[in-house]
Amino acid sequence: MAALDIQGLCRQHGLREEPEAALGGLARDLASGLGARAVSFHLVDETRTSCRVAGSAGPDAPADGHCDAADPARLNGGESTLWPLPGTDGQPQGWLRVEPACGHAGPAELALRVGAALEASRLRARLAAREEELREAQERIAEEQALRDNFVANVSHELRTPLTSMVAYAEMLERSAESLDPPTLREFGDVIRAEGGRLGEVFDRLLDVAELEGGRGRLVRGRFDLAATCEEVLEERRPGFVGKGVGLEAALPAGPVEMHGDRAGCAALVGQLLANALKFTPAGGSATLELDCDPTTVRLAVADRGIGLPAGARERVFDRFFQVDGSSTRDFGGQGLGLSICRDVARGHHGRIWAEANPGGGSRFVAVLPRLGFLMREPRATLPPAVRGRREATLQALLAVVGEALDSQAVSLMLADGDTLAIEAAVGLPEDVVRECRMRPGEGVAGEVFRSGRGLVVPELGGPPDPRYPHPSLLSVPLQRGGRTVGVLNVNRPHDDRRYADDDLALLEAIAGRAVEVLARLDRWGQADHELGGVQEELGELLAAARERRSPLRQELHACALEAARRLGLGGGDLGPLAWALRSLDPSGPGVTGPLAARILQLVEATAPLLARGDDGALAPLEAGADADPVARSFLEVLRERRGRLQSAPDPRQPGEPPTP
Amino acid sequence: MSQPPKTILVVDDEVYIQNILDFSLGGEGFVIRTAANGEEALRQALDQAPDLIVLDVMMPKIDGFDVCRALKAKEETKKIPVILLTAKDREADKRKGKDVGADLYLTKPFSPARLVEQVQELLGLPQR
Repeated sequence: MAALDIQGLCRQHGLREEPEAALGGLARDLASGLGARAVSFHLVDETRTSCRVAGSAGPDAPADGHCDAADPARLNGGESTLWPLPGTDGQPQGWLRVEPACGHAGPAELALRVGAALEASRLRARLAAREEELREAQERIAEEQALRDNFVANVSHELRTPLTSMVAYAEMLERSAESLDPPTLREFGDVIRAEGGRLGEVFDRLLDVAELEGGRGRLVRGRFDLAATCEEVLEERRPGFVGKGVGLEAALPAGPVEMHGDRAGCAALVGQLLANALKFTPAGGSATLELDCDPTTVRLAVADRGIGLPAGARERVFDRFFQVDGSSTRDFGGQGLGLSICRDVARGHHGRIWAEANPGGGSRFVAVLPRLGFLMREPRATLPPAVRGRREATLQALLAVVGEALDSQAVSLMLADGDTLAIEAAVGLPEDVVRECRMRPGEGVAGEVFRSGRGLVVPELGGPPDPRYPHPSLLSVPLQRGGRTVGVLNVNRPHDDRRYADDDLALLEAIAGRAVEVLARLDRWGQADHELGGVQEELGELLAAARERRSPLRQELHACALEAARRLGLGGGDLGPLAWALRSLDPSGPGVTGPLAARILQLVEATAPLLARGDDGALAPLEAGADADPVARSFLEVLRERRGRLQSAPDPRQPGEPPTP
Repeated sequence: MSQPPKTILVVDDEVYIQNILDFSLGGEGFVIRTAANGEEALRQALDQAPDLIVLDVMMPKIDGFDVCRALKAKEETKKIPVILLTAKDREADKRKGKDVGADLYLTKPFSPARLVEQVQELLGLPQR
């Protein structure tokens, strides 16, 4: 048999540059050089469950794309020789198969070279992906730095401007008091007082931000009349409106609007919305404060006839330090803090806030807050006060995470007390329900979940209204520790009035797994309370992941991946953690252990940045390998179907626009 | 015969600052004109040729740095002394003030009496 110049063949087919594309040509030349009936390269997929033919030649060779189990014994079949394509981790990346069996040195050398080239290509791809990530991270950091620089410059300006007037007018008073007439003296005094008030407001906003940092855990809750609070804030703010010549109207309910929440926080929210309206409304314009309520929710809206917001800024105006115009030539002052304070307060109350265009010009800011805040069962007298306080703060944060993740206003955590369930902590439920509700196994939805240890999704509850479930659709999942059901987590009253589905159940189940860990840590605090930082960090991560879920692209990919997972028969142990991990698109997300789930995650990861760039050819790289990869095929099919549907029947809502509550 | 009074253009978007400069400089016999943004400042500088300009930096439309640069680039206005009076107190800002040709860079808060002295100095007037 003639000697084969393997090195020359590799160079000729460009193995080093594009190893996968070179395999077909290499197989052909090798088959003809050896006179083989079949030469084929079989590449193992990342999950090592299957391998596909990526280049083949010869009358008996399998077609490109043909898929087999990743099992060398089955590939061989006894009539061929297999050479492993070595990978750096000691596991072959695939095999070179030659039929009939042969002992030629050429295939062995080729297999080594192909293995090395594939590995190098993979490393290059990984490096490129890391570089891309790094570039994106650098861009994010630069953007944040620019926002901070702007903030420092703006705060400095906002603090120095009134201070300048105060110092200058005080100096003039000191030097020229004897020569000034009484009206001028009074005018100077007025300026100093007004500018002092202005300085105080800037300080208040900065302090509010420091207090509300992160929007959780620091709100002081109690009962108060929100209508009266609105009246007070209106009176405080009215002089500013009168001074600028901007009308201020209010539409408040005639009677009190009792609410359970943080009075000072709500006052800051109303105050900042009014300050914002005043700032952006020119003299002669007007602004309106509206307060509506139903038995469970309040809705605050401040509308102005000002300059309005560019559509792209509607989401970002709530970001800390963000200003529509943050430049040194801006028309309006401020530090980009007011609206971020509003968002922190809304989140702290398990509510939401958004900006929309005001019909007829200007902007309208709407906050919807539940009237029934966080409540706990009787304080546990056996716990030291410090531990009790931390337990309360942690449970409050936990319920906030659940409420935010499921977009819901009512969340209750029930714990087993003997064979009875009692509410340990709740948000959005009436006080008497929280204090008195007891459920036995099998009784009601939560009791049934307690008895069976299985989660339930109830799209529509029949029967008469039940104060325990203010909305007809609800979710209930067990909290399990050591194989025992120790409690139940219930979610009710979705923000957009939708019906819960299996998808929500899977997410809540995944969160329940983490909630049990948090509860276990809380119990240990009875003995030692040094783990607070760890728990809060964990909650912070959960919350950040839950917020990520709002991205329309991620929601879309998440739906596609779950549908693909269902078609592939993925279920039980994999589906819940997968759903949760997909929400955050974190490949190291909790509990994604199954190979199929891992593959789907990988596909989502690969697809997301392509789709995010709005690239029509985004799916092409995945399509190329899909024939041989059943997971990729299924994922792509679903993705195409959904895209097709979306394109033929566009959603009238803009991405990012909040649903009408 | 005494000299005609010198004219000073005060450019600031804060009315209280305009007023106190009007009061303190006006009290020393200067004629004070005011502008509330960069665009107006450039127009007035060209139309009225003031003897000196006190210029804020963070203002609507055109900022004080750009106004100063434009003034110093025009034959008709390049000799007018410019005092930048601003809340921006970082070294980089002060360097920028020098780069755009400002004759003096003062940071807020400021002393009106000291400002009067500096204006007199720049205009070569005897100080009281």
